[in-house]
Amino acid sequence: MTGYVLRRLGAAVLVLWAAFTVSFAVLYLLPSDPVSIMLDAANPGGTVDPAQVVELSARYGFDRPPLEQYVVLLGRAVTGDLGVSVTSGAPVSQLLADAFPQTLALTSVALGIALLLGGTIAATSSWTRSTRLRGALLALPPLGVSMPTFWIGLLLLQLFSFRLPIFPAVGNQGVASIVLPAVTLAIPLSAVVAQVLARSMRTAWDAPYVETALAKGASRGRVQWRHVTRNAALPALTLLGIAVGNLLAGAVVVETVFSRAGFGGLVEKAVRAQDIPVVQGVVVVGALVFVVVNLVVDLAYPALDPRISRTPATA
Amino acid sequence: MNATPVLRVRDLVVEYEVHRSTSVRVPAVRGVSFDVHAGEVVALVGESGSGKSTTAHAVVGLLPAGGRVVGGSVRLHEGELVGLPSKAWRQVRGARIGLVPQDPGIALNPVTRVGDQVAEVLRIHGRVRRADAARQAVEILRSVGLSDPEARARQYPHELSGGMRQRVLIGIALALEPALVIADEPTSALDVTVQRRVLDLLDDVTTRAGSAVLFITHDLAVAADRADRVVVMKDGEIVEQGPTAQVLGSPTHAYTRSLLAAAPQLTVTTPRAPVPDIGPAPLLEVLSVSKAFRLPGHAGRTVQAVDDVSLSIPRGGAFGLVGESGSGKSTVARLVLQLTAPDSGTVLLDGAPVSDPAGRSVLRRRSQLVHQNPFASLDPRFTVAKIVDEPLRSHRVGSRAQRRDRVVELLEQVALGAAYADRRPGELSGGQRQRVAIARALALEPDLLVLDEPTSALDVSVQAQILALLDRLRRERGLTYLFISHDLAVVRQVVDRVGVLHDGRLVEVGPTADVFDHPQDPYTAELVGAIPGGRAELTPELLERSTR
Repeated sequence: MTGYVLRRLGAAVLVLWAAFTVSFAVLYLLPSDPVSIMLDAANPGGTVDPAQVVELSARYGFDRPPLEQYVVLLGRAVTGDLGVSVTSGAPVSQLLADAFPQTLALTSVALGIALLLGGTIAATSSWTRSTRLRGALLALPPLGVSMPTFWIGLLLLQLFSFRLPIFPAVGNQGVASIVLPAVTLAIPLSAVVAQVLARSMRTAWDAPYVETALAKGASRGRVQWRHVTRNAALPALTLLGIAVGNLLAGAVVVETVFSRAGFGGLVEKAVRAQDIPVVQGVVVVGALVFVVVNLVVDLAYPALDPRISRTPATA
Repeated sequence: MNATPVLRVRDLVVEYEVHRSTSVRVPAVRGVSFDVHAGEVVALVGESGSGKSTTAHAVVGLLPAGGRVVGGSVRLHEGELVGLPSKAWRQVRGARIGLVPQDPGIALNPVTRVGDQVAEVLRIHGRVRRADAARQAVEILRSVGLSDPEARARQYPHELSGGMRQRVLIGIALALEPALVIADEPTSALDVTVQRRVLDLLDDVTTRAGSAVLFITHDLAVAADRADRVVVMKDGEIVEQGPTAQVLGSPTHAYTRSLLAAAPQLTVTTPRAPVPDIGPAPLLEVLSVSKAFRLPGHAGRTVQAVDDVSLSIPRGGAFGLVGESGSGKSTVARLVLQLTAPDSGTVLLDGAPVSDPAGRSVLRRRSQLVHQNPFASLDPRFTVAKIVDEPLRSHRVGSRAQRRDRVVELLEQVALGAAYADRRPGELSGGQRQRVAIARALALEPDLLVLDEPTSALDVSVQAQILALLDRLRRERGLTYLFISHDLAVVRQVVDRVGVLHDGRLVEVGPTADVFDHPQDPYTAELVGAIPGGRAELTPELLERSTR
């Protein structure tokens, strides 16, 4: 068990390192001149003083060979120092810390909605004996998957913000403002959850242990809850790790559509201004979230499936 | 037997929907009638597709999707079960009818503790508190003969052996002392010694509870040992029923007779004509091979799968390797075929070590393997001709036309004929598939066939045909067999010499008749004693007829 945890932790660190390295390679080796961008931001349209360029390059280390820059930046990143924004001069870690809670709240609420919605659709469709209800429920996920996120967002805005002014259209004020963006973000994921869960629940219903349970006199509801859901959730758990990555990507779009502050806004601005340290910081934090979630999933597996952690001593 | 029977089935008809879109329905059970009285064991016997399992599931109201009772009546004591609303059914299942399912390996929920699964049936039917149910569950586990039941209750199914799991399932089925127990092939997935102990337990607990038992089995020998009455089914109908001694002793229906003739355990072996000695030199020699496997998840710990095993098979001979699961018999087969390398010892084929590169290429050509499961060993997308042709193609034997002729010849040898050449495995029955697998094995004219449980996935009558085919091929072509099986009765029909494997060691080797009639090792004696059919009282007349 200890070996398992250590291996997982090692893999997580490796992924983080790879994310940092790849983003460094892509961003720093691109034909772009961060110094002139900085000077342009400080004094739009002004003339460029060569002495100032040299001085700035030296201060940020841009005059060093790429490998040396990489080693220095990696060393700083390990201690939590991700550099300074080129455009605003604020520490990247500060910018990320300001934006992160907003995005975290949005993605967690979306994840919760997706699991609840997808799980309910899957469980009801596998529990019911009405083929008509099952057919109707199973038609929903393909619909949800095929609708683009931004379009769902616009549709929800139109309906619940402009026609029926229930929820605010934009901004980060209060609980109500998170509802529409979270639902928008949750719908495609809930469709995937419903599809995967419905399939593994159907398989579980055909398993012999279900017959054993029914032969005990258990009701279909009891079987669904006690036997099917528990077994079907295991294959779906792996999906969660991947889904969180998609949620972060989706959050960037949704935050833009709803003009919410968060990672989305930060990324958009940073990319437009070629603010390399900020972009790299976002990539690293995104990778960190992804790695942590997958680590939790991997470590939760043995706790939920006794067959993994408690292998008997026979071949 | 004048009292009201516990179970009275009359003119039961069950149909299956072929496909949901079409409304085509096929009858699986057509007008079946029988009774089961209190304290009685009735065996429902038949081959796959006979409708025996469907009948049992109709009785407990658990037909698979698409299955429906369309006629007849099923009465438990006085109450009609057909058409019962689902809420009323739930009070019957588990409390008045207990089900012992087929495969204990998969019939328990893998992620729930054993004790909780036993307690569940108590919680469903009685208003027992959780703690009381848990305590009673431990008592139930004790009553089905599990040692240290407190510890077992906290374990998960995969931590118990197959026999222990079946004990748990028997405990669940009998927890509330139901009037009727349905045992659906309860031991066909278990080793023969375990099977005997589990069936003894089932006898014991059903007698204690006074339950009537409906016992579903494909194994006539088990029925002969355990049942008071036998009901024989074929194609959804009952062909014959009556007291066990009468049905099996003087069967009136031709189908019952053919089943009896095919049942290896009930057949007294005819003294077989000795196979001509082709050469005195052994074709296959296994010289004290050993193989250990590392245990996953336990660094450094190993299990000795094969421990100093030596055997020798003369050219044209047939050697049976018998053992229960985990005895190492499949590992011996893999060592012989060089699919895995031994830790020590050598395997000689025709005097040459097969571990040498030269020896190995000879081995690949002159020895072939026939797998246990003909449903998995044939590529479903290939035609029969392509399957049989594959070894010829990969060894570049002959021209295309020559190979085609050879395939037809091979199919004829296994009694399939050229008409099967263009079919695909999906269109064939289990027995036909195994014939294709044998034809493929014969394609390169091997000297040695390694047969790994070649009939364990087949019905008894099909099994008898395949065994007869193997016997004929050996005589005609001077083949040498290494026959691996857990089923002593099957081995007995085919081999000259037999070796008994136990925990990786060969505990006894000798001529087949000697080992069976005068076992020297206590483990061999236990194995032979556990063969079902031993308790049947068969008339000499039947024995004579069944061997004919």
